Amino acid sequence: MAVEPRRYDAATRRLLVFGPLLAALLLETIIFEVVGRYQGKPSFFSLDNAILILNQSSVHGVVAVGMTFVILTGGIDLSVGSMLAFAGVICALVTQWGGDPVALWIGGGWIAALALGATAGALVGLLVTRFAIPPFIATLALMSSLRGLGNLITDGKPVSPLPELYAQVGRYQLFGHVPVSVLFFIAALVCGATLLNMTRFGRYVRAIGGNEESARLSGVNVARVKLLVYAFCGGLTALAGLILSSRLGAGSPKVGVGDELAVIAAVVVGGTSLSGGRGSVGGTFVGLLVVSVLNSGLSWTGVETFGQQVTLGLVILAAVLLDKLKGDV
Amino acid sequence: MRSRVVVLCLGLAALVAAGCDSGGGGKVIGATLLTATHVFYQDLVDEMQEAAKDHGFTLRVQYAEFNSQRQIEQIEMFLAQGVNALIIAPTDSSGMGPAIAEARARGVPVFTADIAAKDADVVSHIASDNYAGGVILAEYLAKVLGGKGKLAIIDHPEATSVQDRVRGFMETLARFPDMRIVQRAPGEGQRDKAHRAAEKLLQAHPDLDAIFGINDDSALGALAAVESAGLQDRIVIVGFDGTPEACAAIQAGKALKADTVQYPRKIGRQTIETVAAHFRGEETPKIVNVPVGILDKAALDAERGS
Repeated sequence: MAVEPRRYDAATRRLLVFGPLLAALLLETIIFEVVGRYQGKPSFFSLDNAILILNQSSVHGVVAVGMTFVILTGGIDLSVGSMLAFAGVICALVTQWGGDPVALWIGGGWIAALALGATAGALVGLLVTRFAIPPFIATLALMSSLRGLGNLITDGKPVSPLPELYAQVGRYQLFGHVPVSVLFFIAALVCGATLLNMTRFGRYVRAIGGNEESARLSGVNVARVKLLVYAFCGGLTALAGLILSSRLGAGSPKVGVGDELAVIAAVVVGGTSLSGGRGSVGGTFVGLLVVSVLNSGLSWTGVETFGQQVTLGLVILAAVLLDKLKGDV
Repeated sequence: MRSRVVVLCLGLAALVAAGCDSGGGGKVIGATLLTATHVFYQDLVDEMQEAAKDHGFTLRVQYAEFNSQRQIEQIEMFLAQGVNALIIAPTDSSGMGPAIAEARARGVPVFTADIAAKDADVVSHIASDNYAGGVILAEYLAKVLGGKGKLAIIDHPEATSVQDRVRGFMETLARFPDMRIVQRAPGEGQRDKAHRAAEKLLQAHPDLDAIFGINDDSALGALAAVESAGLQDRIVIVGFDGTPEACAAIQAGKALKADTVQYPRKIGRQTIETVAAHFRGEETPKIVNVPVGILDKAALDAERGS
């Protein structure tokens, strides 16, 4: 089979990206519903379970929006797993150190963590643009340092106990059903999609990933766009870390190990090309859902963690192979 | 096309086999444990399954593999499946509080096995009896040393399990007026720090008779210090946990003479029994202690021989 660049119109392109993903989603749901019922479990395909899966996807989902931007520029961010933990640790420490009034200090902790996340991202952007360090290396260094720093300042132990309000932020349910973390997730998706599709910044991001040199020659300030992209990803990752920390009710320096790969996997399954330029926030969303429903459904039907890891690997392979067959969409 | 159908069918068959727990109309228990990679937990789960079968319960087991986030997701999934009870061996002593609170809010009783959860209200915690472990080690030393001598502890007072071990050890020694603890040196339960602590200990107390290492890393650290000081024929060391390395040292006739061992199978059985008692409406204790045993060279030789 020849793999050669082809040109599609927008509608066909969308169908080619989303068609297989939606089909996979449907197939997964049917299989888990049938097998679960056969095992005498309640319905897998229920509103409550859908909200649960969305809730459980929200941490990776918020990170994945930022990662999509980074990968679209042809970069990569390996530091997100460590940043998840670091943001939670910082917020928990600020909360504990501050004491009363609790709400004020939790808010301060959120702001401090978000600022640190964005700053760390900007630092990566600086290393990548000013010093021409490959993103893989720059973020690998940050991944290691941040993980170490988080463990250093906490002595490797989770920061707890924390006031009750701390855990309620991530657990609070709007209208009795919709968790706040899901709202953060949706907000990140909407912001990301708007930024990418409706603004000049978004067009620059795609242009840089498509061909950095020609973007530069057309007058795009490549360094500034890249710096902003890494800062955006860092800030979103800190937000995800805050959600996670709140769900745990503690600031743990050990969470998020390997999560960078889980997030990159979701972005890739969602049809974003690792070589940059091609991909979308919507694709990432559906890609993440395919992975989340798979993991959740395997747990639901009693398959243990190791089996889940094998299956996830196969799904990533299948997604990339499919991408190859479609050619340059 | 046909091969794809075959693969799909195989996948389905694997799924059905993996989750084939539909038999019986009994209670359903969800368990999420630290890891599937330790022999300790494999034994514990084997026995839990046996005990669950005896009671007609359906036990669904998931492993968090040291990932707190995954463990919370597993708890939430079990709650969505409407299990009647939850058993957790937490990945992290803190960090399970909110999820456990949610389970309780839904009226699902939560039990912890082996590792306790801080800041969380569980029905019962089932784990090895650390206090009794300290007691049997003190009794062993009293026997070996003839009821008199100078002892030291390589301690780690920050851990609650260690506090219980040391309390059992000291309260038992109080029965022997000629056995005296000359020092409790902190070793943080880590081998290198225990090693350094033991070196200083041997300098300060050259006439020491015995050392109690609060876990096997402490005991093995002390062993290295005793051997490099050439005192291995004079000093008796006892440890805690029964790790393969410690057992090998005991069998090789080194200065490490005895170790307490935990029985994961007993913990697994006792956990299910406690859940069953709760189902029957009985009041179960906050902490359920599972007996521990002692291993010395004779016991190990007998085990290998059989």
